[in-house]
Amino acid sequence: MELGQILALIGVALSVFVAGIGSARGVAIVGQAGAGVVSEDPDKFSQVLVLQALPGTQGIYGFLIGFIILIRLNVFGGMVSVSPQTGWLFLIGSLPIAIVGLISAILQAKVAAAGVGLIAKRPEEVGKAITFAVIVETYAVLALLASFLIVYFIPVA
Amino acid sequence: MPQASYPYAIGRIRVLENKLLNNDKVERMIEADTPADVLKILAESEYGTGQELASAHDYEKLLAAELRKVYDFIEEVTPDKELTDLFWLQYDVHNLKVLLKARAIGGGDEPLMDTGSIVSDSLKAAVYKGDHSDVPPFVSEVLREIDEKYGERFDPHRIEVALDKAGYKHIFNVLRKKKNAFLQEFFQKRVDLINIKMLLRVKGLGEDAGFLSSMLIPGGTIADELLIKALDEPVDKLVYALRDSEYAQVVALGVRAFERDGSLTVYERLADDFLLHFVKSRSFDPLGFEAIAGYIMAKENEIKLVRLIMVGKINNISTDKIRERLRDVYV
Repeated sequence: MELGQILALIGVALSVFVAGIGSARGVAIVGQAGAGVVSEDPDKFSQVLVLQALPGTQGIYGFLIGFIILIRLNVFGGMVSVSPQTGWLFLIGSLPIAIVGLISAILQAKVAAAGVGLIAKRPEEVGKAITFAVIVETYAVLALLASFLIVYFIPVA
Repeated sequence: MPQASYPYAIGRIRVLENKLLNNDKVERMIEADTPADVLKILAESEYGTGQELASAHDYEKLLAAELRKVYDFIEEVTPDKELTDLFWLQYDVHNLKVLLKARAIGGGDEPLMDTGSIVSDSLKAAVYKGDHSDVPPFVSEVLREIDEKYGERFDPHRIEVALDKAGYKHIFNVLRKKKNAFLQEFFQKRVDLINIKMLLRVKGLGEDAGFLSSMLIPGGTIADELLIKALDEPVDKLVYALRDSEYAQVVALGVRAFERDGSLTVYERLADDFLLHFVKSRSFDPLGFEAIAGYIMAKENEIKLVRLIMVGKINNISTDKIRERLRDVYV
């Protein structure tokens, strides 16, 4: 296997597992807060569940970028040859969603956990609680876009 | 056993906060005709453990049961027992004071609080039999110190001071290790407010500076010298000296009330309220200790409030008077 291919696959791994770690931690934080609320008030389950799902998106974005790199490398149909320089470019392209995904998922989880507390007090305000958490999503989406543009338009010989 | 974590504990607390007595309920309790009616309103709020009270005069049992419920709940969800124990330490200190007093007068069966961080039987063994195997080192240390210094002659005042100091010394030792900035700040403020109260009390007793300086608890932010100097000066000087501190309002109003009628009740309530607001203003973090501290304090405060109303109702104090006593702080 060539160095370029190895570097590009490291990019795949980074975008999937770093963003995935962020989402796993984020979902766990909101899940714990939700379990706390639901154990006292089981009726709140459905509202809490929406909030718990929000920090999960970063992991999906990371997987998406990894998947696109794999397609560009044509992994499923005999891998194309990749120069070391192109390999580095793929690796760099994976970084925005890996890093921003990790951090934004955990921060979003804090906002969502606060939102779970808000729902515990005022269940009718679930929309506002979701809105606060969704705003953090913006930056994960921007990172996804940056990663996508890089890995999609890198010329592969 | 649920997994203890900050988000889980705070999630549960957020729901329980809905059950705290709100202004409506408090108002209805103040307006209630008899002590029994107050208890009915408390029963609506699921106060205590549903035990029957023989008469309304047994309300202390109900309040003790409610505090114990809070204690059990916190023990169940606490993500950091070492930190939550700091809030129960005051009950250990109280128990030790009761036990040492009982030992001195040769009494036996003293009613102890069951919400301390140390099992009361362990404390009993330590005080009565000198068996220190089940008490933490700081208790063992202070008991030895008390036996050495005051073994011959029982001096309730100095023993209480020694116990209070040992308690706070332990708190700040734990916090130094835990590096929890919020609690550090919280307990510093509590010590400051207690030290100001000591100053007022000593002023009222007409004792000298040496007496005061032996009582001041270390660890606060107000310099001991400032308080000792204030002892021989008019209270206005103290109010002036603290005018830019965050305690300005508590001191201004509390000290005035003390000067007017020689009572510390107003000051104590203002101080409680100051601490409660401090904690509340910080308790929005869904992953921090603040909300846990906030809930414990809110419940303790609520129990004090119910006690005030019950005492008023039992002694046939008029509704207006009760409201007046509560108004300064709670409404």
